[in-house]
Amino acid sequence: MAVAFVARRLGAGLISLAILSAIIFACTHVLPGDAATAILGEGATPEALAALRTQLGLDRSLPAQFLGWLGGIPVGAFGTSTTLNQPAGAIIAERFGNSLALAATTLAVATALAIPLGVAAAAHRGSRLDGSILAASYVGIAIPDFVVAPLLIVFLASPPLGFLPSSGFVPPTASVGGWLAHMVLPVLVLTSLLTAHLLRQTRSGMLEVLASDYVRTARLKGLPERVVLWRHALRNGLTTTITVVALDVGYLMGSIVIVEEIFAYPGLGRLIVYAVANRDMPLVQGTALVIGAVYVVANVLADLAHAALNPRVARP
Amino acid sequence: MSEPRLAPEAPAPRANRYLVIGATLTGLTLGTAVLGLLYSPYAPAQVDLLHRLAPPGAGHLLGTDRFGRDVLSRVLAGGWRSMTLGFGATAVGLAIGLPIALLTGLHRGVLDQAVMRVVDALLSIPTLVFALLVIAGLGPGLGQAVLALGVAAAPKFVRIVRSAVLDAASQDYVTAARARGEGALYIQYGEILPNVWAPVIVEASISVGFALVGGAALSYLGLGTQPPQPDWGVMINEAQKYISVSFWPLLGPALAICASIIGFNLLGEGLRDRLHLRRSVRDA
Repeated sequence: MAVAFVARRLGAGLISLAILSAIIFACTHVLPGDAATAILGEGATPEALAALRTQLGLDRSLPAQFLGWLGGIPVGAFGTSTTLNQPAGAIIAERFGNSLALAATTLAVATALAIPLGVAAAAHRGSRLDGSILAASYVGIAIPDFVVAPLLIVFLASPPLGFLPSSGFVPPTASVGGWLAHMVLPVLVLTSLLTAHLLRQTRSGMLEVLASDYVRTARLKGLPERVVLWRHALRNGLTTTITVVALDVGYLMGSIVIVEEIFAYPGLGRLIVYAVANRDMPLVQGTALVIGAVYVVANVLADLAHAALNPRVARP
Repeated sequence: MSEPRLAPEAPAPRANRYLVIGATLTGLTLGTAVLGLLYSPYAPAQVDLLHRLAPPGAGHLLGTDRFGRDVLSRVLAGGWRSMTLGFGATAVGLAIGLPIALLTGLHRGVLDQAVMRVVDALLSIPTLVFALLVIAGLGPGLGQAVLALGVAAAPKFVRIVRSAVLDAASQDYVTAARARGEGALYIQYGEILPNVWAPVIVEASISVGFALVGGAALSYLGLGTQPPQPDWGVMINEAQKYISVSFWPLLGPALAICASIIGFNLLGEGLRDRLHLRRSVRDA
């Protein structure tokens, strides 16, 4: 793969992150609301407010504050959480691992389900199988996560037949079984949404490939349909799917916010909701930036994988 | 071996089916919200401690919640807030996105490139997280949630409307308007805008559905409509806390939310097929 291509994609990813960090900073500073007042309350004396502003560095100019914040990011310093009095970077790092476990499991399960289903639906376009797969996926997309989750709790975690914990978290160091059990329901909710989305994309990607000339040639030279589908068509269909999986990482990170809150799972999503509700700006900024970075990294990786599968992409 | 079927499905009947189902569901949910402004069987805040968590029955068609409040009355009374979130956020998103898309789509150059870079960066954080960022600055509440969701929806509007503007900008009528010496604002709003309304309407309809769910999500998280005021997201949150005791309080608001997202989505999809518009890769 061309070095120049890799460098260009990495550069573009970094520029995206730089712009994103500026926007995140602007959102949390330009809008009304002052961290010092938020911490001390409306009744605080002007002297106490001024002292706290100096301590938090809020008395500096906005560009100086921005550069100070930006400078800490490469070493994982996101400032100090104003409500927990701990370094925001350390809190975020711990939660990030928990969210990553959820996201990675969901991505793996959803991809494993969505690709065969999407290929099958495309191969039998217009059949009853295609119709039912599409209808099921539509239901999966249309029902919001905060409705799916309570339903699953009713069926899988409530007295009559419930056997799974309805919410909470056990660290893997304490009990691997407990850790896994607490991940089942959140992963189920996230997977139902992601699989539905992903399989529709795989289906339309495959339909496009199946209509192309080289697939017709493969069929005309008498290859079995199975070989045409899984060897010839899927390779090109997959390049679309990889791009789509990366785009869906954004979708997944959005759902994670709700799902972690529902199941009281201590990850980035629950952290940002806590930070926003308590107006803990260093935590809000850091968490939002990490969530954006996950998406940017996923898309850079997808572009590189795409180029590896189809070297023409990397040529200038 | 099955015969490969490559012939495109005829778009017209499917488009009609989508349109009919979409319009019906949209009408039903809008009707619910309007009816709620005029009438509800009980006062939505009326507590009845003797009939807490009652299942649906003659007195309470959708049952009662943990304070014995009538779920149907609260679904009706909360409807306008949920609709305000959906329509209000879409209106804010359009108000921000349309002028930017018209300006950058017509005058390509450094500004256009800079704006698209920012739009790309913004699309890398999930809409809900972007909305949370704005709420962090503005504080929780219904009006703040409308504004936050609208700002968060704007980048997608810029993206989609701009590509329609790019198509329109190369048409003869734009060249003609330029040759006549028309001003930039007239070309943007007098010539281009009337010709890109179709994708705008389609996208707006789909966006209302997503903003409705986004709004319900914010209310669910305690950052949108503030309890004891009801809206569908608040009601789902309250129902979930007692879900192992009773499932019934969840049913009403959940059905209302699902009907509205399916309704607005199908309406948009149906319109898209009817108007013969291309779909983007993102929402195949």
